[in-house]
Amino acid sequence: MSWNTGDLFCKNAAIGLSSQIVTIVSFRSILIKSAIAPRPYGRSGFHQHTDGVSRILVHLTASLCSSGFRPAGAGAASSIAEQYRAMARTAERGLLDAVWLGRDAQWPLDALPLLGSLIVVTERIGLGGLWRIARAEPFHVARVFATLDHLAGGRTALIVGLPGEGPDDDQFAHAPALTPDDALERAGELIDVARQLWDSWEDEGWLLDVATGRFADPDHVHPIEHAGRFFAVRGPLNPPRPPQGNPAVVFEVGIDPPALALAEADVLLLSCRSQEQAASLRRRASPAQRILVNVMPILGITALEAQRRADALGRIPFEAMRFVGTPEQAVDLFAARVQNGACDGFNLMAAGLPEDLEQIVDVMIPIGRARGVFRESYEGVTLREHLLLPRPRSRFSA
Amino acid sequence: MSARRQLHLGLFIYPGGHHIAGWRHPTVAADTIASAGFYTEAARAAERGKFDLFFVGDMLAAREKDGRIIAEGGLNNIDSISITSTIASVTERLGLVATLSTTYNEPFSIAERFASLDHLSGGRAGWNIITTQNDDAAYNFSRTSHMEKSRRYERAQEFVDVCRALWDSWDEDGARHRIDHAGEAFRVAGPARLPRPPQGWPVLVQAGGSPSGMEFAASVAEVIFAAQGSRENGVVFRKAIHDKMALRGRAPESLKILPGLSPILGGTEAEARRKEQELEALVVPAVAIWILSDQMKFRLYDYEPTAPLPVAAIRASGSNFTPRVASLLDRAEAGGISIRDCAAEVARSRSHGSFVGTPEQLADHMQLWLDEGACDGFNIMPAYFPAELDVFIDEAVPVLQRRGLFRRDYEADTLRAHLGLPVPPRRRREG
Repeated sequence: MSWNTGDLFCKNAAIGLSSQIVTIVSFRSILIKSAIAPRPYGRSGFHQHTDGVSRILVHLTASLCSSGFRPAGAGAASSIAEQYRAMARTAERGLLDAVWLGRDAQWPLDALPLLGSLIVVTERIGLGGLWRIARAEPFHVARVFATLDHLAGGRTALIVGLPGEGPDDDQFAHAPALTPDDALERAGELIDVARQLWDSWEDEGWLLDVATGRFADPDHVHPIEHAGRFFAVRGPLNPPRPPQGNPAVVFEVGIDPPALALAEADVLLLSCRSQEQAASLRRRASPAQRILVNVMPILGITALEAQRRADALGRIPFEAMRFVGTPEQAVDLFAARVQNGACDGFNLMAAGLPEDLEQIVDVMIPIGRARGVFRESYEGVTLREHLLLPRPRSRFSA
Repeated sequence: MSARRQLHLGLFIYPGGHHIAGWRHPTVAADTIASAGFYTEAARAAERGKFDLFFVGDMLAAREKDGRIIAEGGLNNIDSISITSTIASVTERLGLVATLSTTYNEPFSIAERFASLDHLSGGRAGWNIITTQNDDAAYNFSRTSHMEKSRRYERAQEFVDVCRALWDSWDEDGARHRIDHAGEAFRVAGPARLPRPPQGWPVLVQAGGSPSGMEFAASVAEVIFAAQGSRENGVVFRKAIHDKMALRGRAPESLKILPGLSPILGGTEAEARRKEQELEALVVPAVAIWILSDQMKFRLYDYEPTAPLPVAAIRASGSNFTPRVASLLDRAEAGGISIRDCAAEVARSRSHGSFVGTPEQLADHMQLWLDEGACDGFNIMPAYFPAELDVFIDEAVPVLQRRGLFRRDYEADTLRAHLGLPVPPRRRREG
């Protein structure tokens, strides 16, 4: 049941729930000097995938919040906007695929303006924002994310907050109450309509032909005429097709995700407790979907130091796995998990922000890069490219 | 000597420019009009020009006719919160006004969105409250036709009441209070999840001059984005608003009226006229007629363009007309103006005020409006970006500053402070 069962190097790494922390006995130094030499996962190894596409081994993303995901973190008093800007820049320095926004218990900012505020302070990193869609309208969801994706040059992701979480029904008591099944059905129809709206402009629809004055080609821009159980939406969208075609769609799930998430997700952020649980979801999901396991890395220059820190933190109030050990051990573990087919990468939920993210970026990532585990530069421009997700064609394209 | 009343200036951004053919102007990089760079460049320029605010509109439907997009129509407003939050990170003082409809949104969500923008921008957010009048939008939000206008404003009033209560639901010391709102349209328990915004509330802006819109503005608005065709109408409108405010116990200084103004400037009047003609040559006539149809809520594209404007039929269609449209109808009725010529007029600035001339002449125009009480400033609507905005900032703003009509530098950090509006005191509902 424990995450480290069968692991190549479980002797050196301790991982698991806070209740099952194993004392670490390795005191290996993680001086950068010593980290340069070994390259067990070089480009000739499984860096080259069976589809012939060269890809990074381990996808890394990070969830951001104002002071970290430790219990009752002490928030800094400086500008909340500047804190987020600094963290996003740090994550980009580490060449992470994306940062995820919308899970900040201390500063529960609306993730959409927060995402917007990070667009021009970053250049390549993906930006995902949570939208709780229980009371949302599909036209708004599609239009806002089309706009953000244009502004960000194709770097955005919609994190779908499903009904049953977030602000409780007391804030929307005037709206007709739905059974949980109906609420989920409505959410599914909403995502379907949003995707139709993103598709309502084919790529050929946006002409911008200054000479003739033809900005759009009406033959390639389509009303969707959706008439469903919950929504009637004519379309087309007013912003043209987003640079990514459809912004990436992300769900945060446990080990038994709703069918909707399995059907619609480009990325699943998985909270689980064991490698077997992750592998089980990896088998059920499509190979075209990315599964990133939520992990709280608690790193120390030595394993002992990491353990001391873990002891001081105490229990984590949610179901993210915890990794306690040295950066080298973390790199090895991440690589082994991906190699074993348990997942495609990890979503970092740092205990303390920004300091833990800085440590990860400045110490752990260079070690992993030297070993061929993480990317050496952004090879793509859009978030879909970072995640090796294909850009969908419009359903209206012949 | 008492301080001279000064202008407040907004910059109204539009993809490409406010002139319907602005995006085709040779100086415009048409392929950038949906990119961050287009908006950040304009925002940095506005801050260089010491503008009070950056204003982004909202449109919840594509420019279309019977579901088919208008090929030459140009891009209309994309999401305003996305744009204002993006430029928040490249500006320090500039106010950020985003437009969101009370007809197709939820107050709890919108209160949180603007609170977030205000926190992220250090107190620079403004909300242009609109009720969305076009049927095209209704079809995108599961409605078959648009809510009748007075009902829309009743909902808007209640919507804003809920938002203000949510913004007021946190005390200075972090204590939170439920709001337990139970009204005609909404039942919201509160409290907010975020602390009170730095400005207390974002600055509340209202656009539109219909009778119900004016009542709403007199009750709620702190800025009106107006569409007055003439100085005389501007004076009458401003006086009427002040009278309605007095009935509600509001001081006239607590509301600033900024009519839209689309300047085309040249070193000489002749040069400015030439620039205007160059732009008009870029207008596709069918698009101008589509815009006129949209403004008049009447299918003029079914008529011969050379025919006189069918004023009687338009009036009989029973729409509520904005003051600008009403004035155009009056003139067309008196003068038998053709549909095509009326269309050319609205194409210029989508029915807002326009001005063609030198920077000195523009300063005279603005000064006259200010001194005669027709406005408190202007929402500047450049015909195209960024060149025509740069001309305004580099040539017209210094003239206004020399005359003491406009600030030489910012004296404050928040939008409320730029506008001389106080932070509203917390209001607690009595249980």
